[in-house]
Amino acid sequence: MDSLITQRDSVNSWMFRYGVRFGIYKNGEFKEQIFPFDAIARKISGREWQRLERGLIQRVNALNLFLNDIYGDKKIVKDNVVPEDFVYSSKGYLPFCEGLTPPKNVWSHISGIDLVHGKDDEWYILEDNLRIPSGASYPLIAREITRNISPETFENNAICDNRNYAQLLKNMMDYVKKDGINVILTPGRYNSAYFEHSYFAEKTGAILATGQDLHVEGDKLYYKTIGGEKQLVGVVYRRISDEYLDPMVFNSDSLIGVPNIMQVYKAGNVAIVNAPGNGVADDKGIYYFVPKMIKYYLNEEPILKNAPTYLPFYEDDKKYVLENLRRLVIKDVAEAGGYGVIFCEKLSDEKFNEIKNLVISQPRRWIAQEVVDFKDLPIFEGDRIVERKADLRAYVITGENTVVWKCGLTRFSRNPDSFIVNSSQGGGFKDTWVMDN
Amino acid sequence: MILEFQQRSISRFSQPVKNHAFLLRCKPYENINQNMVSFNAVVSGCDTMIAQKDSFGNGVVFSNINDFHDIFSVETSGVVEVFDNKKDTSLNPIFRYPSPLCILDNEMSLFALSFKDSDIKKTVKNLCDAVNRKMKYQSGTTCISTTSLDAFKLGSGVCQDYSHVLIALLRSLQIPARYVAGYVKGLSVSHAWTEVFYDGFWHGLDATENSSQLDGYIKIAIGRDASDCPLNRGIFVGNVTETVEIEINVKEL
Repeated sequence: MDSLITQRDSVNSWMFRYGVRFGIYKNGEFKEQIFPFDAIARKISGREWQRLERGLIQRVNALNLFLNDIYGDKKIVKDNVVPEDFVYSSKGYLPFCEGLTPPKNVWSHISGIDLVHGKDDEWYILEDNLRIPSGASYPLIAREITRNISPETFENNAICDNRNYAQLLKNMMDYVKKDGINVILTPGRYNSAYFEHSYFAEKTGAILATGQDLHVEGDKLYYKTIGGEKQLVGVVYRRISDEYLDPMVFNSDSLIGVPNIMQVYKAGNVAIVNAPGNGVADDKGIYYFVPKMIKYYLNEEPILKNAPTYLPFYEDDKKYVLENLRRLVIKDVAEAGGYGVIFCEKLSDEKFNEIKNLVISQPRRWIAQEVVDFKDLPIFEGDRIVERKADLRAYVITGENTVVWKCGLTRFSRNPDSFIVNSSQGGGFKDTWVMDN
Repeated sequence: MILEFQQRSISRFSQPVKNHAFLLRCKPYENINQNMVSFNAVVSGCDTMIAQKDSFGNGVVFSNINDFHDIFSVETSGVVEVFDNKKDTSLNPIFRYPSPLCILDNEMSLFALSFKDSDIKKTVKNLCDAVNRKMKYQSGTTCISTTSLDAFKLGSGVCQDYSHVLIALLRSLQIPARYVAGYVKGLSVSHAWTEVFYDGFWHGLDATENSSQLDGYIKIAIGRDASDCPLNRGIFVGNVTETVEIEINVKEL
């Protein structure tokens, strides 16, 4: 790894040339920044990975079964495993999808599962991202560059190849698609992940399209080429969130969606990746129930643990939360991307009481978690190595089978006091080496 | 009761528009209370339309007109048979929870609570009455995306707002309620009312009229609130002003 580390600046300058950027909105302004890369890779041993892999596959399979059940028979609600409240008051629940079965019964085709490695050596699931998890292109391109700069690193270490990601995506799209071509639907170049959309289109051989390139005729979806030809579309890997996907059904102001695409989907003539409606399963409130889902649907013990979580919705939990609030993390169920996460330890008394009252008055809105003391990873800051908090986003692809990509996005916080590592909050990333031993 | 209806809506654009996609809920709702005897729809400039049902059981038709046009008209007619004595007992739990346009605050919950009676039927009647008295019918004060909370604070609105406020209040007392859009004998525009679930089946209720005798009402679409079942949605290319003319006629046969 040393040769890589000595050349770390050239890695970052290559990334810059490749255009590995992400955009963020700050104070109402759109800015593109580079996503800083740290050369010290995170290593995960083959043995440890096997356990992670089994746990992730189990979790994603259960989540897919949950989605199928929730928009279908609702057995898990009828059997009182998941309370009705958490389903129907979830912002991610889409009544549109009631009674609908997506092609090949797959709901979450690409799942981004965020984990942390505790100091007790246990991996904890922090959250499930089943809508449009982004970020896989960063470690892919970082690996491409580091491999060029320091080929000996990859000759001398038994690191699992990660270049199959696009193939995994393509296989999945080919498996779920109806008649027609594969399309990646992007909101356009002002989206924070546009770089990734174009990268994957190129790597998977799919057409990169905006909403205006697609249109519905009858109950079929077509891609219009520049020459005016029409091509039937069989699968849309959309990088547009549910609410903007179809102005006729959801947000009527949306200009980035495709009018009536949801009717084509409902008629069973196109696959949408990931399926609309998945938000009901990656809601922070539903998170609490995932271990129970694994037992319920698979009759197995969960292999990977959730961070210890409490739901103030339940009286016992509420009591515990109010008694121990000072050392807990409170999360707003409706928020994502590191927003709405409150470390109560750091609050002023006034703010603390405000939060406490909110937990009492709106118990359904919050979950409370123990602060997981997770392992620090070494990163370079200037010429010095410092220790920072890091998490891991694992990418799980479900087509004919569920597989875990042997890599992942390791994000770290640049702020020594922060536990929040989301790229939208200004962190950096490293490569994740899954070792072949 | 057998009812016949004719509905005609005409949109006129100040300049021609193109790539016009639309989705209509214009077919009578079909359930145990209402049987569709006949139905016919004609959309100007469009010969093929696809019909589907949405997840609430509403009939939708959709299509698009790609060529330039400056007028868009939808003409429908049909006959329905309405059965007052039959009971729709199917309850989807979704109608118990707040929805995008039916939300409330603490003040509204307390307002609802103050009308609660040990007899659920009375509670429902009290609330319908209270909404009717609290709200003033005034068009132009609200719009299609106004929430029940805003309408309640404002104290005015149109039938949609009356229904939304009533639904939000009912649900806060754990009484399932849903939104209905449709046509009414004697009204030349579409109307909105409420259905409430107790004693094991759905009961119709009109907060605007403060009435539970809904003779001459034809159900077109239902949903948690108006955002689930807009009767007419369209999107097109063109920077224009649009004027819409609607005419509805319902008569008893």
